[in-house]
Amino acid sequence: LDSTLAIIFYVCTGLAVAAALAAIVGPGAWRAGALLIMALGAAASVAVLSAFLAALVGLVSLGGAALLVGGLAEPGGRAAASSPGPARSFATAEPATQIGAVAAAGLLIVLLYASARGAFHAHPAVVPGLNEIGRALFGRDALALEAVAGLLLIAFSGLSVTMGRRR
Amino acid sequence: MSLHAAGPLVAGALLICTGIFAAAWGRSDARRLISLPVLAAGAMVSVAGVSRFAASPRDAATGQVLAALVAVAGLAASVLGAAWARRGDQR
Repeated sequence: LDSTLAIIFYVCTGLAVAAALAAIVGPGAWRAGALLIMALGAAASVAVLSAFLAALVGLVSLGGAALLVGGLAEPGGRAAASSPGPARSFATAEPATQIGAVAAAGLLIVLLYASARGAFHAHPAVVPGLNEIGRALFGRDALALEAVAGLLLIAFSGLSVTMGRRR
Repeated sequence: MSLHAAGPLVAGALLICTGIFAAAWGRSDARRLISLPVLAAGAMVSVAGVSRFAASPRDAATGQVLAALVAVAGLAASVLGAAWARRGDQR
């Protein structure tokens, strides 16, 4: 792809991420519109990748999901403005939560560095197709995949138990 | 400036991280449900990117269909989530 399409792709993706963040932290009145913009940005990003069928289906599906989710009323009219900010939430959180947040931030930095400067970025042509990825995940790395799946199951179970106790 | 395989994967990862952030940050079911379409959008961009830059060209149509399927799955999950949230509000 040439530079124009690359710029269009990154602009559309940035628009989708910004709109999603606006829907998350913005007022409730913004939610449906911001999610619609997110769906439009994501579909345009996919269209730039020459996947026009997926872009069309994605626009209709994600747009419908945006209208559905954006139209939900919040109980008691609780808005994001009444929730504590990130710094205050971090300061008042439990030590395990603080350690998890710092670890997640560190992992994000490592992943961004690996994608921008690592061997993965230096050799983009070796990215396999979906068939090869499936063979690698369910054949060669099946044990590792099952270990990750078990870890995720334990993590989400712990999360649901913790949230249930807090309520 | 050109687009390589890392671009769509990073973009998809950003959207997925934003979806996880929505699930963790939301104080109500309505806010947490925002994560579903955002997660589906991230997965769709990632799959479409893998399909576009795949080593073997025969995967192109498969990747497109899988990306479309992910988007429809996101809509289905959102329908279920919205129904669950409305049922919870009625109680």
